[in-house]
Amino acid sequence: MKLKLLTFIIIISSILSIFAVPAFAAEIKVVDISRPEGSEIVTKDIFSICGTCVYDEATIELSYWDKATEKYEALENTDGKSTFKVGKIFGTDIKLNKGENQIRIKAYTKSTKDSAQEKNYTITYTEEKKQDSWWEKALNWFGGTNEKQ
Amino acid sequence: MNNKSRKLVFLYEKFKAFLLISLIFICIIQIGILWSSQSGSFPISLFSNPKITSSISIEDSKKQYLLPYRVIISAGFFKEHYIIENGTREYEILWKGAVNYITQALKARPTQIRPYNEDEWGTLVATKPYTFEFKTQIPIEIVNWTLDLGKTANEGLSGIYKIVICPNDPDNSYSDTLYIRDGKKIYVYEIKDYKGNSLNQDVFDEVYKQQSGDHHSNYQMTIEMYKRYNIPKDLLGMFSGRSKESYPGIVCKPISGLNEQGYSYKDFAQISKDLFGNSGSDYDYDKDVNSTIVFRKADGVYRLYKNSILEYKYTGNQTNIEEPNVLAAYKNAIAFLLKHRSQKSDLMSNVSVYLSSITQEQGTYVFNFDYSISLGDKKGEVPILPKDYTIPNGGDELNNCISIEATSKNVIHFKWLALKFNIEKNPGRSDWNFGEMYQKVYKQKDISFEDFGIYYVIDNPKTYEKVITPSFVLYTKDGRYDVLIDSK
Repeated sequence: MKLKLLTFIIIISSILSIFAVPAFAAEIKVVDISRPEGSEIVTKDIFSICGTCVYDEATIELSYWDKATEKYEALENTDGKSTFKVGKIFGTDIKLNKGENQIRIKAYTKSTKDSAQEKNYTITYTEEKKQDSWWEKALNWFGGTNEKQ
Repeated sequence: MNNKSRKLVFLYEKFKAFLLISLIFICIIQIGILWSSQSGSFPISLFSNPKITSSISIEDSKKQYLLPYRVIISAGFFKEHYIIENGTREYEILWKGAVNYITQALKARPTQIRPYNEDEWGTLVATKPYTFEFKTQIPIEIVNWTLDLGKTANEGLSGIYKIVICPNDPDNSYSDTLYIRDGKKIYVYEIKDYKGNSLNQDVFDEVYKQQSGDHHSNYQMTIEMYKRYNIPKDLLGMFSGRSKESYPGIVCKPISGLNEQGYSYKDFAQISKDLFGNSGSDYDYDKDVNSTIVFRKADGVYRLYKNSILEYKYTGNQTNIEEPNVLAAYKNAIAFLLKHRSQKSDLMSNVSVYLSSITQEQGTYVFNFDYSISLGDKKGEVPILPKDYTIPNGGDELNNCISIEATSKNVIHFKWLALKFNIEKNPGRSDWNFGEMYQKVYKQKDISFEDFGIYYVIDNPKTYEKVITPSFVLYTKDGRYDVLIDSK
């Protein structure tokens, strides 16, 4: 009987350690990032990060994955700030490097600093392929060259 | 009776007949003068008031009252979008081109009619090159009349609220395509054999180059930045970067003499001249029990309040059992506005008027208009919004610069913000961001806005001169909010 009880306690403890502990340490949602929605491929070097704040005010920290140091380093927005306060609705611009940019957005309030919301995004900046004007596209279409491209 | 006395009688009768004809003629002239001075018209042009005939006719100037309040060019989704300032050369070029397209489109039937979908419309505005937006839906009867289209095959199109134009539209077999939005649906018009080149790639390139070269703010669209939220998806704003543009101060000056405690004959004459120009002498003026200046004409009374609101009320027969006709009421409203604009040489000389809303009341329509002040030399315009203006002694609010209530027969109520506007010489520089302004102006928990923009808000009505600077104005489901933009 005692063995059965001990086994039961061990099983319950194991389950709790697997599910409950990470749940208690889970990050608290501070902001809702509306852009980027996920990984994006863009053709402009200035990228806009936008979203709304669950609280009246929050702090945002931007960082990027530095391949040389192999760790996340502070990323400055176009105003020269990597940590800044935001209100109910916010947006900020960052300058991208060519190729893959691994960005981390961290958001917290004074009371949630220890369990900050954090998410990584990969934004790939490629140079825009020179596009024909819509007039040229139309001429190509009428001339039947559109399909060849 | 001898020959001599018969001749005398004949001459006497001839004289009487001549006198009678002269009296009838003088009588007609007098009736004509009275009629033309009271109602501004007479059936025979000979007797019409020269001051009225010299004014601009409604047919010549009706197009000035059908102007989009926002023109946008777009290089594509997630690419550059620019708002073309009203009153500039580029604005005029683009609107003229758009009128050509609209005229051709409305003569044909729409090729597709789709229910309005916010995401679809937002994507169209962000993707296609040209967008033209009115502040309110313009009823199709008014559009047809203004553009001299007669009756069109509108297939249920009730009016024009917003228009997207894409010459050689890749999503529509490279046809010139118009997407017209009324309150409920999107109507797609394909223009076949369009002969003009008014909005072609060269025009787009020229305007785009000018906008990007002038460092105008590069706007983003809500569909690009806040797609998931319950807000209109076709709004443009500086959602991430900062807007750093120069804005001049606007000097608002009430009519001189209005701040006097007692009015002399000279004051009355000056005020009446400012309001009615050379026709000022046609009005009888006085003060009422509240010391408000009153001008009377045969069929109406004007009151000029201390806060610069001029109110007109029709005093003639107002029994109107007919269902009002929006076009007839609009024509009356425009004719009334034109007549007063042509009289007020100094007051309205640098003002453009935009139709802001149309509401149907019992037997009448109310047309609200707002001012945009010209910066001169086609440098653009700045929009004006009145705030806290109320007709004294429990009267209505005036939320727009001009409000005209008209029936199919005449104008019965008219409210007008009678101020002179001058541009200050040294412009200030503003520096703002949408998020900051939103936080300052709207304290509610949920995210809500229906529109926003930069306006010059005239508040705290004063009888003396005042300088106003731009404000950020947010339209939400709870109403309109505004906050001054810091100037540097």
